[in-house]
Amino acid sequence: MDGTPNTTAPRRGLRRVRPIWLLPVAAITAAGAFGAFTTPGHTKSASLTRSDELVCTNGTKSVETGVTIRTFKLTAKYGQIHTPDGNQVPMWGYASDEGDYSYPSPFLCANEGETIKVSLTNGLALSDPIVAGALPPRTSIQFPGQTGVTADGAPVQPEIVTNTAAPGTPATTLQSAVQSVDVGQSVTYSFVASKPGSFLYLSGTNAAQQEQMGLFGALVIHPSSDATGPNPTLFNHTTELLPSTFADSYGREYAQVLSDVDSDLHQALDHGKPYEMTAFTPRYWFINGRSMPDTIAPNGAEWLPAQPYSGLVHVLPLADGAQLTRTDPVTHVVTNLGLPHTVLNGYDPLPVAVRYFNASETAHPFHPHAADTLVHGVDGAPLVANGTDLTINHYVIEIAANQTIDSTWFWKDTHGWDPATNPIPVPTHDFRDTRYTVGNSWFGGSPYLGKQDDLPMGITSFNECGEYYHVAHSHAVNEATTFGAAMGGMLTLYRIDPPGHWGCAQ
Amino acid sequence: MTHASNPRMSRRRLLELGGGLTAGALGAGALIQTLRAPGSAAAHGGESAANIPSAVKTQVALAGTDGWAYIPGPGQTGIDGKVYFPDDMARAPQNLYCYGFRDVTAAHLEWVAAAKIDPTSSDADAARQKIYRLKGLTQTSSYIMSYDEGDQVEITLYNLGWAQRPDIPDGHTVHWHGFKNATPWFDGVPEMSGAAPINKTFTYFYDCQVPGTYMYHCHWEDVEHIQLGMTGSVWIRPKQNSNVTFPSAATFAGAVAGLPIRYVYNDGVQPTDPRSTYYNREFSFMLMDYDLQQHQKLSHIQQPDWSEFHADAWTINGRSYPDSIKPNAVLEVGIDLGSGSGTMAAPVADPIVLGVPATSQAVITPAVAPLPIWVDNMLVGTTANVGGVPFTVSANTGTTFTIQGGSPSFPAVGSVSYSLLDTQLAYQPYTSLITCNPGERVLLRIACLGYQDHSLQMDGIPLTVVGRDADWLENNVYTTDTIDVSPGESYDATFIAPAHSTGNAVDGPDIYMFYDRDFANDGSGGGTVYTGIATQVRVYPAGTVAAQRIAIPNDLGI
Ligand SMILES: [Cu+2]
Ligand SMILES: [Cu+2]
Repeated sequence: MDGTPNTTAPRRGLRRVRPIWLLPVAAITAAGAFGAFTTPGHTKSASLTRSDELVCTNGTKSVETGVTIRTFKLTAKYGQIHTPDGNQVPMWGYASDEGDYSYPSPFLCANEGETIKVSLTNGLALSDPIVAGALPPRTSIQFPGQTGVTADGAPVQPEIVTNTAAPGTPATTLQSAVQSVDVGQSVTYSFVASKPGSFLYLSGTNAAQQEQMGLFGALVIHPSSDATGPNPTLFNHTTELLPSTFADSYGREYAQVLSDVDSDLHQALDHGKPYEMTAFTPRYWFINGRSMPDTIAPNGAEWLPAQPYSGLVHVLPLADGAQLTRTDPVTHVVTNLGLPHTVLNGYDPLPVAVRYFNASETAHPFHPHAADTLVHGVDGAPLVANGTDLTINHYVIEIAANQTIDSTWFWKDTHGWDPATNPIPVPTHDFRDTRYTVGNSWFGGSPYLGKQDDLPMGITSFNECGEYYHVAHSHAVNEATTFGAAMGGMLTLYRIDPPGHWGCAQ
Repeated sequence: MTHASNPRMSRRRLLELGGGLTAGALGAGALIQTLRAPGSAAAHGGESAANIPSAVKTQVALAGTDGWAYIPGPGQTGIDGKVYFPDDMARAPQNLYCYGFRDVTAAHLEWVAAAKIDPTSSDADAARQKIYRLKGLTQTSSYIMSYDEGDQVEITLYNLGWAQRPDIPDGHTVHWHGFKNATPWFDGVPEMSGAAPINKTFTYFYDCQVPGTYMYHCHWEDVEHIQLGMTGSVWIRPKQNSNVTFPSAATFAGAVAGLPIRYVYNDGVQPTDPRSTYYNREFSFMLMDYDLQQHQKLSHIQQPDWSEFHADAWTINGRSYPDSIKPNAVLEVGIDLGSGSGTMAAPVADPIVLGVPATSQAVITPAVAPLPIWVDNMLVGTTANVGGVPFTVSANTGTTFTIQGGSPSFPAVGSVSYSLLDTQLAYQPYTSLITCNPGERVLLRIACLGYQDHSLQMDGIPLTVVGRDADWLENNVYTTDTIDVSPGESYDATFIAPAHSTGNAVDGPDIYMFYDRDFANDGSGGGTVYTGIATQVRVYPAGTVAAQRIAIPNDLGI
């Protein structure tokens, strides 16, 4: 195997430290990606080009006899990811012909009503086959939540093989939940994207282990009414939701794929060895294939070549008098709608959409701080019954294994604290009397949005312009760790910029 | 309805502050005065409203530190052959290393009042000592907070440091889990704001805007500080409780006539509506799962590996069954000044604390609810206050303390006998017992800050879930036998107490078990002995259980 994988990192005698400063290079580079390595008072040039929103892989669109067909070409292949404690882990995943190997596999985006064709080529390889004669396994793709799925034109069916008669061997084995292919072979799956929502696609072959290896991705189907409303919505308002309730309208769109990794399992499979699942012990937990602090780096961060997807959720604030805009869900082109902005404490009247995907074998109780998550749909099914709105607010969303949640998150400036006109009514920041986390902080020195103030020497602040950061993490807090060290793993930040200063632009 | 007309000065809050007079009789100055000893400047009327930290806000002070708790259960040995439970460094009779928050509001307000006159005074120093000598004597699960919608709460967090771990300069924070908190400064995540350094304080401001069941916990080195027990419940009661449109006593068909009624949410519907959130009694439950070996590693200055998390003990309000059904307030001695006038007639069994008061006498002034008094504070020379009567502890024999004080018109003398019967649970004060009369609607405020799901069932009684995560379920209200509580979630569930039958042969009342049905998670394996997350509902004959006193969480009324 190339690199220096070390899946049994030293765990005894560790200093009481967090992965952030075990890997200062990544942390510093992360700061760079935020525009500059910042300290309060330091002038920096904020980047307007960085992106943290959902990055769609759109495939190829064609029209045949009036039917819109969207084709994705995927290859199952080997890759390698980096964890914040300096480890590298061998992985498998579906790479699109539009890009390289990634963890998670690409976000496939389509529109309701389109015919989806996904061609899969098994290009898996073992990078370090220490078992003589070991070969890469068969693989496949399952599309949970879709109906009428075909494989090379035939309905998908479980693949049951007859075993050669040997003592103690069952007569048949369920080789795959759907038709699979051997190394070098290809198969094309097809179905009609009949309903909008958030879905997973993942291996149906030795699924517990292949999903764990990274053979999964997210499928986002935007509603057909998307193009007609003033803003994108998660579901159709003509059929699924009460026409008058546009609570699922959103400004920006984010996706959070939750997963975990048992690095011993990855080593074993890459060696061509079997792995007993009763020994399964995850050491790493991820959001969009990254652990904190990598989760907050922008899409395409160059030091994470196989983990291109950001886990940051970024609230777009509007200054008073700004015009409402509409972000196209596919192209991300922003259109000025020329509509008056209804001021809500000077803030964007639209929540952000957050689509959650649990690509692991255990439930994760996900907890974004500071504002409730309004759940509009589960597994692509909108929460409405007999004309009654059943959407529900949660401060923790428990996402079952391989379940998806369609939600909006709406941060509001509940108090509008202002040092001059509306000061906080209790004693606040005096840096001489406050304890900070050693090393890194996202605090800018002031409790007021858009303000910065002194921090003691020795504190590295990634705060650019007094923007707010709130954490969002698994509340099984043992999962918000990286190989046992806190403030890592399945934890990310939700960022709120000062009004009118997207990305701290002046 | 016990809510005062002024939401900023409810009676319950006065009780929390240590005052006992009725709200109407109290000016802001008197509020502080009631906390002070006779003979001090404050008692002579030298206080003014300006000396109160923030007269319009509810003042709370918490102290974060470590300590020792007790859980029943067999010894545990690690794969290295070392016994990790009971902890061989534990201070007997406790057996488990824990962290937590203690309520130090009364002492904090004493300090504020004294410090405003002279921060170098002996009064100020004495108040500070009351707080700082609690280092190493934490409470777990921590102080239950309850407020009314519209209340503004100022929390002063003291970091006392660790008694067992002088090597770690950890900060502490208070994260009000589930609150819509705009500024990270009050959200308690140290990487996004700041924390209380050892021997200093951090002040939080919370605006209780949305009713419901919340929780709070420390977010410093969160996986460790939460697991070790820096967890507590927060309830916000809705404005509907003081809205005359909605009944404050049961008058409707099917209810027990005359019972007081409160609501979980501003549901806007009458109690007969199936979506209603009304209730007659409320109990709160904090579910936790402990990895005992990690607790032991921390007391022994070893580094835990949280990816190895493996729970092997479970608690409800910080105790494992059967400790969970013992009464409230193990840390505190209650002195009930009774009602009417004359000499106190009878001892009070609630709250029962480090001991059961056997006899007590005091001169009675206005009728008040019993106030918790910390046994820790009953050292000779300690000044305290009960029901507006300031007094000094003149003797403490270890089984009896004697108080002297009052004023010329109301001399206060008395003695309270106590016995150190239940020192095992001295730092786990909250009961999980549920007591009720037939026909009453009982609210269960369930929260979980462990790292596992817990599947709760109540044998023989269906549960109706009216709220989750501090949101009324409205059209989603449902009835079920199983409530699966995930880490960080809260559930507001209700049940109607069944009719009383002949009663359980052992205890008299009918008993229904309420427990985590995931037996793999309760340490019993589903065998004959329940432990871990398990408790009881006891249904008494009609009229047996008194109405709950709002100042006392999980008040049993028996
Ligand atoms: Cu703490
Ligand atoms: Cu929390």
